[in-house]
Amino acid sequence: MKRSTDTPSPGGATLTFRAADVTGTRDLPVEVQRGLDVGTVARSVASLMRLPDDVPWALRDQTSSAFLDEGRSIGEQLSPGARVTLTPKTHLG
Amino acid sequence: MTTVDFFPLERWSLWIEMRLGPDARVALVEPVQRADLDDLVAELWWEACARRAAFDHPVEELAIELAALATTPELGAERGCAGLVLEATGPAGPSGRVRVVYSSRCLDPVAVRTLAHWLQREGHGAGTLEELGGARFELCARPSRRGLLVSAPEVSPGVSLAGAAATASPTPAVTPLRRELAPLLVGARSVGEEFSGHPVLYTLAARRRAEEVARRGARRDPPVETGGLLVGHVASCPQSGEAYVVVTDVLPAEEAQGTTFTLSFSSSTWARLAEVRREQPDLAVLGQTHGHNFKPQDVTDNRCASCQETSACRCDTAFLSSDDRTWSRAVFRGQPWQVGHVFGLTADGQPSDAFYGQRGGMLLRRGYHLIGAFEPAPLT
Repeated sequence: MKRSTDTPSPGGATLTFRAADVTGTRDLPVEVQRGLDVGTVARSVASLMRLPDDVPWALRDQTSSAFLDEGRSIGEQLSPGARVTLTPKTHLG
Repeated sequence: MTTVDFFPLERWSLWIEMRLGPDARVALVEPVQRADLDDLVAELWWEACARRAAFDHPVEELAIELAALATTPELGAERGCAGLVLEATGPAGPSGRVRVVYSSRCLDPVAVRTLAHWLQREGHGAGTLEELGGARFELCARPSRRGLLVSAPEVSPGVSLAGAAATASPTPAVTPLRRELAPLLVGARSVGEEFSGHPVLYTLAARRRAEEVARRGARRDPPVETGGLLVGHVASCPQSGEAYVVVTDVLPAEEAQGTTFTLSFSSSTWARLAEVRREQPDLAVLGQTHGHNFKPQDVTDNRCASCQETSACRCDTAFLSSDDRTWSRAVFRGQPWQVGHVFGLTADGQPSDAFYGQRGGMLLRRGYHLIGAFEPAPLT
């Protein structure tokens, strides 16, 4: 049976979404355990994209434009098939 | 400076040694990993492939060789390397062999990581370094059977790429706009330092808008930093094969949080960028622009005595700070076409600016060609 990578069942243990970097040049499908906190997922997505690990990262929901709460689980903040942007939490100086 | 022999990149061991105190004892050794070289490899690909009309040649297919730059030939290059040299042959064959020289400074982020690991291991605060008389970092290199350290991405259990997705490349895919370069340079004005790398074209309207956006914060009381994103095109000339960059517009950082010395983009800033990219998918994000709307003498750790005598001082605030470099490294990792434009002030309040591009693994001051209007599709 072929498993869909975009729309897993809403009640499943895992969640699949697409993550892009802020310049839009990196775009990956990601599968995560729903219970993981957003901060952990953001760091892992940065690693998967080969982005620096010495910079803090946040995930931003492309539909609502809001940053996801890094302390809460990703499953309660994101719907299957959502698109997020991995955003550096650093500033110009 | 001389180079030690070239060997395949994977056959090198590279590491940073941190030396402390008056006796310069080695306090920590930090391996340089393959991922630490991503920006260097991306730049080599840019020179060997993109600038020779081969944007579609994957960086993974380049056979890369490395040599270390020795500061003292009789000692060899194992310790205290001045830098590295990467070489590769592009798809054009032996005539397309390209060499890029990198200063050891381009591995500063590894030195910072070394220091962070040491502070954490020893349980010290940052002030400890001053007490010890500072730290010195040395890049060390040696061909070895063990080879370059390739660490798997640090991904938490429960997170993975979905389906059959490949892992990310050190250089993200880019489809260049194909436009002949020579006609665009007719009547162009060269601005800034001479630069031997790829051409950067900047429309007059975008240049004006960048300055307006960057200096907007100077009108506030107290002045704050403001800025935005430089957007345009990565292009390839069908006649010469040369790759180049055209900055055509500036997206102001809306609802960003600016202070006297910092600028943080908000979710609205990034959302606006995403919206523009949806409307104009061919538009590329090329870099940042922002204003240092303060004078050199306003910086508290500035020890330049002449800054107080404003007529004699030659300092200005148009430079990339370490925060700016960290931000650019995060946002434009593996994108050697990136640019940056910082607007500042001299000690007596005169405007100054500095334009940057990547060269030798670092963002360095460079010049650009100021052009009139630019149409992505040639006018017929």
